[in-house]
Amino acid sequence: MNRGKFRQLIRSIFAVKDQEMLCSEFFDILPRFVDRQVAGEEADKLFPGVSHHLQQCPECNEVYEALLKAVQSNKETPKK
Amino acid sequence: MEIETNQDWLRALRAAGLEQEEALKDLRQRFLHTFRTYLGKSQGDRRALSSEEARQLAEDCAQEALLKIQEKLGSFRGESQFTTWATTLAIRILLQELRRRRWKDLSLRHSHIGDHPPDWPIEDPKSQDPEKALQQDEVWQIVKRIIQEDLTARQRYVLVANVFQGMPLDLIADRLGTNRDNVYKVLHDARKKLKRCLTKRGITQEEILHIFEITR
Repeated sequence: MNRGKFRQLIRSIFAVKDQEMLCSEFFDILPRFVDRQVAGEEADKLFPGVSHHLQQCPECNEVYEALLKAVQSNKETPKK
Repeated sequence: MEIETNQDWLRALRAAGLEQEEALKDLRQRFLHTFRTYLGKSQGDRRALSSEEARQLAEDCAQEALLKIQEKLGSFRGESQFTTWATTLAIRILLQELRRRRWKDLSLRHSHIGDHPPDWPIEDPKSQDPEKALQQDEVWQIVKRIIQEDLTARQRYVLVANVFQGMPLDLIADRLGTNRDNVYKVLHDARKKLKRCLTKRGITQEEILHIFEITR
């Protein structure tokens, strides 16, 4: 484990909340979350719990990062 | 014809013949572009895959994603852009496959999966400052003891396999005969117990990061 992952482990322990969003709930919200974010809206406030799940679950965060880039790139690419 | 609205997408994908074919072709191109961009930027995956393997992987995952989307079309509620919903499914398929492949290599390093935490948690050696090295050792021994003595066997298995050995959550779920949400809950409970036990001993996040010389 590199230092970044160790830091993530320690932070995820101390940031733990009694109730947290599950991965299936996260994936259900994710497309809406990213659409709002790319539209410049405050997605964090509209979908509470998503940002926390992103901090706690590196695998879901990896999907989020890839999706955000894909949607942003699609938005920026002019239509033929 | 340009497919723009969610209604256009649903109609085209439910239609027969050329209209459906065009919609599937459009989606396939979008997925391949997304996959190639991702694989091109992911250094670890770029090292692990030849360009031919990456091309084949992108093709296979795009095909699988198209099948999945047609199968799940009825569950699309129109709350997001259709393409965002479809791309989410496609990316999940690609990353699941990449994680499965990464794990195939990683698993060879471990003779026992989910058995016990490592003697030392990070790749870097202990601090060169003897006093700091001693503090690092003391803190890690405490964390290790909590993992070994206070967590349940299931919590220990999930934490060690996922966090220290890199086994993906979906594969842990398969091995335990359960689903990913249940594995996440077990991991969540393990973190809660670790936090409670560390806090009880007066150990804070800042202290651990400081002792391990992790400033950012």
